[in-house]
Amino acid sequence: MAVNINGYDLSNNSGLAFGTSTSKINTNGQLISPASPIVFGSKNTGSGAVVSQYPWSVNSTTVNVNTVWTSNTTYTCPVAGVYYAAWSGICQGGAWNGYGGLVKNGGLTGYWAWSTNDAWDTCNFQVILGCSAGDTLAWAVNIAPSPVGASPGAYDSNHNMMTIWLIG
Amino acid sequence: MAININGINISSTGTSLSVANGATTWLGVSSGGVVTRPQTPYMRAVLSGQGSFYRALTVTFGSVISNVGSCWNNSTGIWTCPVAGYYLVTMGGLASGSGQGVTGYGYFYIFKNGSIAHFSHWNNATSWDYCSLSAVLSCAANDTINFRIISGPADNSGSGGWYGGGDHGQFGIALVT
Repeated sequence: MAVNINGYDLSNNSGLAFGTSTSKINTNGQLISPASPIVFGSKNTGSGAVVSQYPWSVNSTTVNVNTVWTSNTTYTCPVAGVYYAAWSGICQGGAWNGYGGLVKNGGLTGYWAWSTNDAWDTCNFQVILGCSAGDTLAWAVNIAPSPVGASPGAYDSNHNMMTIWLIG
Repeated sequence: MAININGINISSTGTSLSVANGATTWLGVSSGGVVTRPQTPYMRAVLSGQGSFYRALTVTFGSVISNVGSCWNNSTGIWTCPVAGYYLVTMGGLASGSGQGVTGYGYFYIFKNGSIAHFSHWNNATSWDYCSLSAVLSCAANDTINFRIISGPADNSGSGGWYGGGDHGQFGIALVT
């Protein structure tokens, strides 16, 4: 027998099921949330290209639950919560410095930097941040609203990745 | 109609679910089936204002941006886990190279209960090198987590460190599950 709360059923459907959603606590006690908003992808729009770009175009996604990533550029938080965001790629040095950043609602909220005489620097940026429902997240590589250096930017052609998840 | 279990209130709009204790929401399931845990303990901080070349046996921050659950003590540089679980820990920043006229190498660590859990190393001849490290730690309640950045060999006798100005050094800890 389900427990009905204002038309919303808590039921035993191979575990504790939440209404008609796909989320449940399964029979092993594990919280399953297939609708959890996750995007993972990379920029693959130019072979051999080095780009400074805002918003950084991530056109090739392998995970994009409920299309939280739109226009190849923007993640929209479906709910208030704690989010994890990470960007990784190779950034062009050679006596050039540069920056990349995470942009929240159009304003810079965190950034990374490189400054190397080597041709390329591998950059791996991670941040944990709180967001409200409807907040947007995007990436900027060496162009405002990120800080800006003299570098041409980061390498396109799948030599990069980004991911954003709800974690709490 | 909501269900009240000795003060814990389970309620619904008809399309979403909320589990709350008084005014504090413990868990939500949105109309789209997204599960949220608003009391998730997490912190986000930046080195901002710590100066360069920053190195410390126990890292503290010039700016703590978020500290939900008050698990991070910025006076001691210690995170205390409120419950057993898996914690995501991240750190990243610019490490000095010998081109700055300082020691061009060092180590950076994630500690658990005062012992090294994970570490990495930079060794850079040029100006600055962006370094980052992340880990998932299995922790018991009251376990502690902290960060360390040292310059040179293990005795921290070097002259280099991380760029401590602006928001170049980003750190975070969160209970994941």
